[in-house]
Amino acid sequence: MRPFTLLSCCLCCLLLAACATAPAPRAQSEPVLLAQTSTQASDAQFSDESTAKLDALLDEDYDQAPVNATRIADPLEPMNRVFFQFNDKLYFYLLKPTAQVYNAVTPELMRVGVKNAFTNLRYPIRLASCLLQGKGGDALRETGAFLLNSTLGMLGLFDLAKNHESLKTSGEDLGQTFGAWGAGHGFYLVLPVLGPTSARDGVGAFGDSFLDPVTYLTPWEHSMAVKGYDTFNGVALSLGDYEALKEAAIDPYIAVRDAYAQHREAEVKK
Amino acid sequence: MMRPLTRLMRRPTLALCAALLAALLLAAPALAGPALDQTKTAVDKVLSILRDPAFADPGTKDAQREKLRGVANEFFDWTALARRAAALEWRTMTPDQRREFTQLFSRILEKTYMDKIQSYSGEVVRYDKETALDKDKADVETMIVTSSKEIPISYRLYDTGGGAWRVYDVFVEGVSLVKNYRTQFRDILARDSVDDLLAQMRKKVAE
Repeated sequence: MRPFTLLSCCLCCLLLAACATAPAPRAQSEPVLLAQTSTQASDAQFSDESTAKLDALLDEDYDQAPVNATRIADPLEPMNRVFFQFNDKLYFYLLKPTAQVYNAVTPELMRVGVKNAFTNLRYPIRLASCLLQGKGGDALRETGAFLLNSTLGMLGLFDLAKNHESLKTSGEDLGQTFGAWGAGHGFYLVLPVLGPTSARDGVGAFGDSFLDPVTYLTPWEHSMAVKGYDTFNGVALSLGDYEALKEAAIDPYIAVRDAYAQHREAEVKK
Repeated sequence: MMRPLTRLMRRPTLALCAALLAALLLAAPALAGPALDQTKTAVDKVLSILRDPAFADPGTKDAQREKLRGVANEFFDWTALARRAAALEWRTMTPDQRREFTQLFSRILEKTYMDKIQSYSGEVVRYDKETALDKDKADVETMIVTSSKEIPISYRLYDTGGGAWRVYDVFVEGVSLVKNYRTQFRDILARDSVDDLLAQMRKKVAE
């Protein structure tokens, strides 16, 4: 569900709000509310000359291949789009209403606590990936965070480590490890219920499940139920993100696909 | 205690090296800079508008939106954002089409985020650092701290001249807004014409 949190930039993009007339670039300070400009000025900034100046200032060369390179291959697009629609309906007709009830009857602190506890439990996954990538320092930090959160943080309910600079890590996983080793996304996959993933990350998630303590709960129905609850709790905490992304997008399917690809690439780089 | 110091003083080159070393060790990646300062100014302005008791009444939402728009227009360079999102297709557009494209693009974003922004409830914005990408481009990292999560947001600003820095891209959790829209526009324009795209965007704004 991570890609859905991206456009929860709603809050930060406090500044997002423009109106019909975009003002001509100003070099001097002007009154804040001066947002209207004459048609003359707006035409000038859309001319080829202004565009060339802007491109030069920003060092952009749109003819270069990388700008137009497909970020992630999508050979299964027709099938993916079907599952995307299915997941969309599942979200709006089942997940969201249920999550809203869940949010109404549970305190946020509890939901955050549940999320923290599950995240803490997945320490072996993060540790293994840190070691596989040769990130010894991160492995130590993950261990430190795990110990702190498990003890003082009451078995992981409280994420105390996030306030300590020395214990900050970027959560690693097997998919990122494969990426660090040079593997590309492979191709894009939208799984029913489970959502967007890629060939590489799907294999990574499968591998990670062996290091997830919850997988070993017997019988397997209990393990599935617990994992399901973890996912549901996560959805409940980020209600509104998917809606924002959908509302902002001209083509939601492409928006989600691109966001997923960009997000994973950024994670691999960290 | 004084002896090592006086020994240092007697060797000016050593003192100079020590001073330089100290300066290098103590220098952090810019925790302040023109881009970060202007980001702070803009965000602080927005926060003060959101916290302004004059807009507490729901009836004043539109007036509050006007004020927020004013700040946004100064901070975001909509032409740059739209031009970068359109990429190669921008060249095929006439100036009129470009103007409408930019207006619609900014309206779509406003539509989506204004409601969320105006339902602000005490979130804290943390300014982490500014990294110079170039002599006239910078990346400003911020973090929105809510009660349940932290959202990393980075602004890319460029010097438009005279020290006024404006945003030409926004990254949320590592995802570039411009690139995300670029992928969508490219996909749409592979099938449809620019006028078709503008029609789709007009429809979206009117929704």
